[in-house]
Amino acid sequence: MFEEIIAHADPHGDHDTIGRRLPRIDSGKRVTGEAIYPADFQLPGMVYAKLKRSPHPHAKIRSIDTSKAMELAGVLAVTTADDFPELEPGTAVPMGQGSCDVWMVGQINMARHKVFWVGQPVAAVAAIDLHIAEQALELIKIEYEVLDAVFSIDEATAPAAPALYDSMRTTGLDTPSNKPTNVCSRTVFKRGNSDSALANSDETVELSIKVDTAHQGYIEPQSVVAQHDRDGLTTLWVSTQGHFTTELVTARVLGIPQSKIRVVPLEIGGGFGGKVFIHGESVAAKLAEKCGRPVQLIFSREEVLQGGSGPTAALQGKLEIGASKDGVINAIKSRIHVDAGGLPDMNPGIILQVFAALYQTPNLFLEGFDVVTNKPRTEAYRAPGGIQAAFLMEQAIDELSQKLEMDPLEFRRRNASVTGSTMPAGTPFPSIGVLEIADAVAAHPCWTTPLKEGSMPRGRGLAFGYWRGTSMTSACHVTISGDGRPMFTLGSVDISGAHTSMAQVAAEQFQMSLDDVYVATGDSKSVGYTDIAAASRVTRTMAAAVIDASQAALAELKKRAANLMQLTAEELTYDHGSFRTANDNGPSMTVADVMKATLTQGAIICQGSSSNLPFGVEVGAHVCDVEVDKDTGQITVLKYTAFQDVGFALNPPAVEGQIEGSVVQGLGWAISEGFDYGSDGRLRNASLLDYRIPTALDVPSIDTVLLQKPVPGVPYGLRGVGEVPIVPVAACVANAVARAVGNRVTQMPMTPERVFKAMTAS
Amino acid sequence: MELFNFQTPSSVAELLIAKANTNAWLLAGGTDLIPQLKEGRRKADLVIDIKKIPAMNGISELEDGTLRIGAAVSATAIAQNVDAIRSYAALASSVALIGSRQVQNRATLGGNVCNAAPSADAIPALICYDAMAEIEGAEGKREILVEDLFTGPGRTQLNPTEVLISFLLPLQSERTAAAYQRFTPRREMDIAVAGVGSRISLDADGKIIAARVALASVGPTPLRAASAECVLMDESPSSQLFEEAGVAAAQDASPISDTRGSAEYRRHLVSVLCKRTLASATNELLQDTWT
Ligand SMILES: Cc1cc2nc3c(=O)[nH]c(=O)nc-3n(C[C@H](O)[C@H](O)[C@H](O)COP(=O)(O)OP(=O)(O)OC[C@H]3O[C@@H](n4cnc5c(N)ncnc54)[C@H](O)[C@@H]3O)c2cc1C
Repeated sequence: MFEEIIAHADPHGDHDTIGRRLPRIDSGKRVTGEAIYPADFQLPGMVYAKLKRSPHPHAKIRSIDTSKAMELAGVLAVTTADDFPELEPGTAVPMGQGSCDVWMVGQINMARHKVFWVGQPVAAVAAIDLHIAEQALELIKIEYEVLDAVFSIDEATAPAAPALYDSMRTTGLDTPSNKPTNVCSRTVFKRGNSDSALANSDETVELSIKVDTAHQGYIEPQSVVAQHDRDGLTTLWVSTQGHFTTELVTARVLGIPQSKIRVVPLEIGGGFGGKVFIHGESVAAKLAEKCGRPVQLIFSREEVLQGGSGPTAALQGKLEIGASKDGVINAIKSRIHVDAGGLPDMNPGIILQVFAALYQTPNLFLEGFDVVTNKPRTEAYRAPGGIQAAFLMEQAIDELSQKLEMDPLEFRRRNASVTGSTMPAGTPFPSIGVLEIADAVAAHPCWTTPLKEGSMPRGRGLAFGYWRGTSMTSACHVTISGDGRPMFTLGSVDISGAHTSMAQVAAEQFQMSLDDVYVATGDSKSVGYTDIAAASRVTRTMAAAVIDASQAALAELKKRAANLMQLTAEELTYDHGSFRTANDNGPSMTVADVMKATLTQGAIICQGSSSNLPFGVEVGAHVCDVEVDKDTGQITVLKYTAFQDVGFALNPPAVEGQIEGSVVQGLGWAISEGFDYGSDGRLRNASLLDYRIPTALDVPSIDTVLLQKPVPGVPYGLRGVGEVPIVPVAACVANAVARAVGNRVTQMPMTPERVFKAMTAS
Repeated sequence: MELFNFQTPSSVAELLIAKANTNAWLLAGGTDLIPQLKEGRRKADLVIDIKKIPAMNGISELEDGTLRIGAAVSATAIAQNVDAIRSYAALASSVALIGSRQVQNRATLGGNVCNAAPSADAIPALICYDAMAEIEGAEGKREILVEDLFTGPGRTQLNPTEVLISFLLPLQSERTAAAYQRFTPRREMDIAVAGVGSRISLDADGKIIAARVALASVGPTPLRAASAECVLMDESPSSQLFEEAGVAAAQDASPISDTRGSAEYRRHLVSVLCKRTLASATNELLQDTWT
């Protein structure tokens, strides 16, 4: 039932390339180190940049004196915010379905007037070597007026809290207030009357949670090489999730026209949402312009963690949920606060969706606030907000099923959203397979095999995850080489195997082998605008663009073949690299011959683009077994199984890799990863020693079960894949822990100390 | 990292001449020193590599049964040495906890001790075995108990001209066993939130005639838990006894609260690890004939 595959694309139905288990076409150069990242990239005469960062979490910048640094031999340029145009807060450029405030991105690159977190850049130098650059930083004299600071949601929302922005007023309040505040906005989703429905429920659960800020944990720190040539063109070699966005935003931050900047994406060593914004690219560009030499800027690990990059939002919230005796949910009510860090506008709407997607309820009241604090501006991380919200929602669901003495799978099934049910925003769900996943879990040994007893308490947890993902726009073009092979240029960078999956699609379209197609990412001047590689969108939307371009190129080839064969195009069919007539013994001509005869008569250049494809709604269910050391609180995850509806697995190992990687990231945050700020606003664990990403020894074997329920209207029925598998992880572990020891852990990460406290709290 | 000079002496005599320079730092495995230099936590005018000095690089058994381990011997070499595994199992297993395989191939016992981190994993086992440190400097040679080496976090008794040449581990009595365990949130590449090493020696009747309990990460230096040892002396091993020793050891600890754990939790961990290491040592001696 789940293996139903709809491939709209190949009329012959012989899938030589799609749906097969293939290694990445470019894995060799990645594992040998041949692949070039910005840190490997060298230009003649290149010099080195370093950023001077704020030691204070909240301060006015009174003055900056760079003269001594400039005098140091070997220093070639120094820059501060004075070299950049002053933008108004709220200066928007389009980004995906929304917009991006370039004032904010400017502040991430270089603070002006005020600093809002420890580690925010305030000045930068370029020098002939890094030692000199480091010495020069110490010669830059900055006078600060230190201000009181807030480091948590509670501190920021306290009545007498110092305000980060004098002009901030909470938007979306029923009764607007005119007092400065650190609460940027209020977002509400509402239907029915949740208060009275809760009061009338047979069983209710109320749960409050707190989640610490965490980092995406990409292994490659932010890095860039910038060049400003004699003709006034700036070129950036970057590690980014979106070079078009980088170009757009950098041009605005620098105040230059986009005709004067080109962005070349090199390999990216992980992004997970953290390499959408720029974090120094504009500074490197400015230094390159000032000193007339190419400039390389590479962050250290400490810089990445101590304010140089955007981690992801801390969250705290409360949820109340009520159900009837027979297990039908009749109300969900939740209020959450999201810690945006030092710059405003981190709308919690996307997070609230998690509370109202998988399960239907007639009464709903969801309220989200985003709060500014004196910590680094947070950015996206794989299904941004999803894991935090599910930590609340899926624990509450589990607790409620325990109170109802109902199987947690059955309880979810009774309330599951189905195709056509109401989405959080009120519109009907496109194809969604919650029930199918529940069936798959119910039949699987990870759920049906009894949990073996151990020397310590053990428990089995279940949690579901939802993520909507998005589509946005993707573009590519194809030209046909002299030997008839298709050469594709894509607008997306390859963050998770896109080159391989697009080569599969192209090969399937042209009925050729993978070796016969060329696929590469174009720079920002050589291919059409494409949105960021994020939001589970690249494979789905770029596949549509590749198919579009392929069909157009094949049509043009057919026209040329028909001409050469003195037939009409209608008389020809395309079959594995040749055009032939319906008659088996009739004439045929290979695409190679077509191109041999027509190459010099004009290039074939065909473009493909896709925008606003139907959502590839992602649903997953996770099951895990844990053991809890009752003396220390340490959680050991014994076994982990992730079920996911992927629509269609274009390349199954790539899909499984996304799921396994997500689970590992989720386990890290669930158990050991969390930012720990001291009372001075400095991150106390700004190293990979104390910011504990799991090692191979900390992760159990992870099984993946792929379901394939296609999404209508999308090539091959592809769903988003890469985000939802992080969503249920922490809740899954928490539910297993609760069933093992009888206590809920409501703080994430669930460090041994926190678990121990939860177990020993009476 | 700032510029420094680098030397590779081939004898202790040459080493001592080089070390007489001001602000000279020894480089054994470099797994502590190099990050410290890179992050600007330490500045050096001269860095002296000691891996080429024979007297500091071997493991040998002396006539009286003492095991001599050169200060620059790597964790991997100790963990794989048959004499160390047989007679000083707690040391062999504790050095195998340091960092990761790659770190263990570089990291040395002398470096672990001289870096003097309260969390150093090899020190409690050395204390448990009453190990001596052989030291040489401008004023000649001396030997002191490893236990007495430490004066504060990152600080030892060594004066600026002195270097640690080797460790001397005395022959242990017949019915002796020891164990070291640490608690870390991650299973490798982590620093002990708390660590405990315990040794017991039994007489013919099964009474404890010698006991050592040494603590890591719960004080400004590695500590001996004297009152826990008192609890154990002249008693027969039992879970009840080890429970009491754990409580006493927690009192002997003087932890701080930091990003790795609160003082309260650390004390609790000391009691848990004390019990577990004593049980492990006892199991080695008595299998499961005790309760
Ligand atoms: C990733 C990582 C993980 C780690 N994990 C652990 C862990 O789990 N447990 C743990 O205990 N440690 C750990 N460490 C710390 C370190 O590896 C150990 O302390 C190691 O034993 C140090 O040995 P070394 O030879 O590398 O010392 P070095 O860095 O060479 O030296 C350390 C210090 O001792 C001095 N010194 C060295 N030898 C002598 C001598 N003979 N006489 C006088 N002074 C000397 C040096 O000048 C320096 O100040 C870790 C380090 C890293 C980088």
